[in-house]
Amino acid sequence: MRYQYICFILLCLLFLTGCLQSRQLEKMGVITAKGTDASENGDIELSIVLFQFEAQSTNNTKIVSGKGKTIQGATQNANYETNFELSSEKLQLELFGREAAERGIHRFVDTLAREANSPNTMYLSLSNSTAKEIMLIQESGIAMNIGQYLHGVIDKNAPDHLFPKIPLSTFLTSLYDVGIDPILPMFELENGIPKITKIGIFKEDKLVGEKSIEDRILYNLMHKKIKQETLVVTLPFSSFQKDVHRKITQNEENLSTSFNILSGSSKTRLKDKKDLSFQTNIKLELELNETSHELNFKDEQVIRKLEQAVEKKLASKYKSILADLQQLNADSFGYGKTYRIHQKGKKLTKKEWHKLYPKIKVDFSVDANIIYHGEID
Amino acid sequence: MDIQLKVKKNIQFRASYLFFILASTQIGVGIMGAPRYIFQYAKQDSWISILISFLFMIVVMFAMLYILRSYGSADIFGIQVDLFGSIIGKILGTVYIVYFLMGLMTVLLTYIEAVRLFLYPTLSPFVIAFLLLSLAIYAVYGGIRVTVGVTFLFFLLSQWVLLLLYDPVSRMEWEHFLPMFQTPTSELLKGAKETTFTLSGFEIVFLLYPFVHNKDQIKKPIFFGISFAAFILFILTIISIGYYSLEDLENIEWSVLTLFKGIKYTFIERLDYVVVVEWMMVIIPNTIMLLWGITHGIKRLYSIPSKHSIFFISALLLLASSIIKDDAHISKLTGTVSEAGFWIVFIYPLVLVPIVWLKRKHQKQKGSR
Repeated sequence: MRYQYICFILLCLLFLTGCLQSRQLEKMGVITAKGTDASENGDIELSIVLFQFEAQSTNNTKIVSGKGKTIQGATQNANYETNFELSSEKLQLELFGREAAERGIHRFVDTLAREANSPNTMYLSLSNSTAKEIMLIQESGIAMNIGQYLHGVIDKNAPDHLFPKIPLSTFLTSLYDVGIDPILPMFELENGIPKITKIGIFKEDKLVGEKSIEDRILYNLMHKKIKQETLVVTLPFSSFQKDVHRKITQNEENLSTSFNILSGSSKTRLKDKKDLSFQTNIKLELELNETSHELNFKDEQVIRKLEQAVEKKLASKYKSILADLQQLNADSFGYGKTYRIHQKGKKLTKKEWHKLYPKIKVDFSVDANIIYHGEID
Repeated sequence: MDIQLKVKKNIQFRASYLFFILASTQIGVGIMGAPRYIFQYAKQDSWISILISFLFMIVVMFAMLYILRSYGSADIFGIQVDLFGSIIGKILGTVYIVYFLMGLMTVLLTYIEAVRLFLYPTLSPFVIAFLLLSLAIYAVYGGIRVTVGVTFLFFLLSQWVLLLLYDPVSRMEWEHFLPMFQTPTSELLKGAKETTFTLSGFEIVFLLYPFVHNKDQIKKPIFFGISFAAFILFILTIISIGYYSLEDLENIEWSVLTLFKGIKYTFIERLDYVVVVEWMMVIIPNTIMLLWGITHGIKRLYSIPSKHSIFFISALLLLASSIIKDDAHISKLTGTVSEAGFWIVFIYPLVLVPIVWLKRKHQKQKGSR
């Protein structure tokens, strides 16, 4: 009796697997990256990078493209170009072309969020031209799958949870939340190699402007605590003329310095609700790594002076970035979040905030502390 | 029908197992989407709603224990017959059984929907239901002690999933909870009512009481069981509110499962697949406990042996789960069960308390005369 039971169960194991749809790896096209472009008359053009594991072929990366009215339609269309079954379970990167992003990417991210099959861990990014151009790059420098390459570029350039690592879930939160607009990293071809050069500034789901990637830390600092990041600050040399220790470089107008941020954080509070004035305090603990002129660090006053110069420089940088953002009416720093908290009794809407945002005034005060200056004085 | 249920010593179990039974019957399919339903009313103050329903649950628990203790070793079926007479008592007992049946149906349907949505869109619901029910029948066939044992084991086996939540926690936006205390009390109460579908399940104590070996120590495990379930719901709701946008959470149907979609490791890319499958370990105790409750109830009320009724009930469930596929229908059914659960699980025991009290007083007077 017992053996019969066991035999029955073993038979079940054998046959029950037939209930599932079989998916053979050799017949699958595993999508690792997808480029989305807006094409003429409202069509979507997809460039899909996929892995295929064909026995005869040495190259296991393939790029297919398709057009359609919907994402799924375009994917279907792309599937006609390949003898593999496309599957998006391992989608790692989604690249939006500039035009598509300017028209608004809400419908694309909505599709990604709706599909239970695709992961939420994929990074979102932009292309300065079309996504297709970057996906189709054939460069000897990039031997690997282009999707993996771009994913790696984003992955290796930030600690977790910080820009430019923007997974779908984070993007959705900042897209739907009132009082913050999302940002995405933008790729550009430089000598034929894709490189992150800019920060794409969004107003709601539309790309409205871009900022230099150099200011990445300033954006990160507004949202999260950061550490182990490099901060490069260029200061006017004139005020440090007297403090030069040994002259090495030629006389220049600027003193370029670079620091390692040991810890950095920011705090924003609403000073006056009626006046729309905010106070942002930024606290930095720095380790000096590099200066273009060798300064006399034996004198503590020089370090204090350097700190003050850095504070002033960063505050003015923040001010000018905010002015630009206000012009674009894109709240990438998320001041609306602070405002929303103080809006009691009534809910703040996106529309209301975008009306108020250009009028806000922010006092930036930076507190920089250089606690180490390397091995030598 | 006997009001008191005499249970032999060898099929009784210790009171401490009630902790595992309650914790795992309360946490089931409902929790996969629960934060959204609470949030739609209570917004960022949802956590208060959960605290309200937790306090309410404790009150109900005391009411239930009062009712059960005044009888000694009876279950709800016997108590109802004693209070309202044979006919009405049996009708009320049948209501309980139907409620359990509907509850079990929603468990199966919701889980099947999740599997189809996340893993195999084309897999036949019949197959999934068949496999789940075979397991459940097998366990229930072993009797109450096997049922309790399975519940205990699966409870332990499924707790590691909680560890994975550290990733969504690290991505939370704590500002989402501000400004606090904005939701009016009426909405908070509505939010609290939405928790009933998730938190119901502790009514099983009404059935299990006679089977408990040391009845005097029953209070602690029940209290901890209820607290555990409420605590898990509390944490998951807090994480969901922090993780998703406040404007978006209302639209995310599987908010708790989607939390796991943002996690990946170098050795395993899609943890949500693992979690959906692992969730079977969460719902198996549910299925088994409810199936046992149904068959036990039928046996008590109509003296039909469990061995026969279990197949009839399973066939019914199998049929229903292969017919009902539409998401809207499932939501509707869940809504109905949730509404019924609110009255049967949370309100009805409170109604019974004064009746039992009056009856006891009456009997005492009779006795003293």
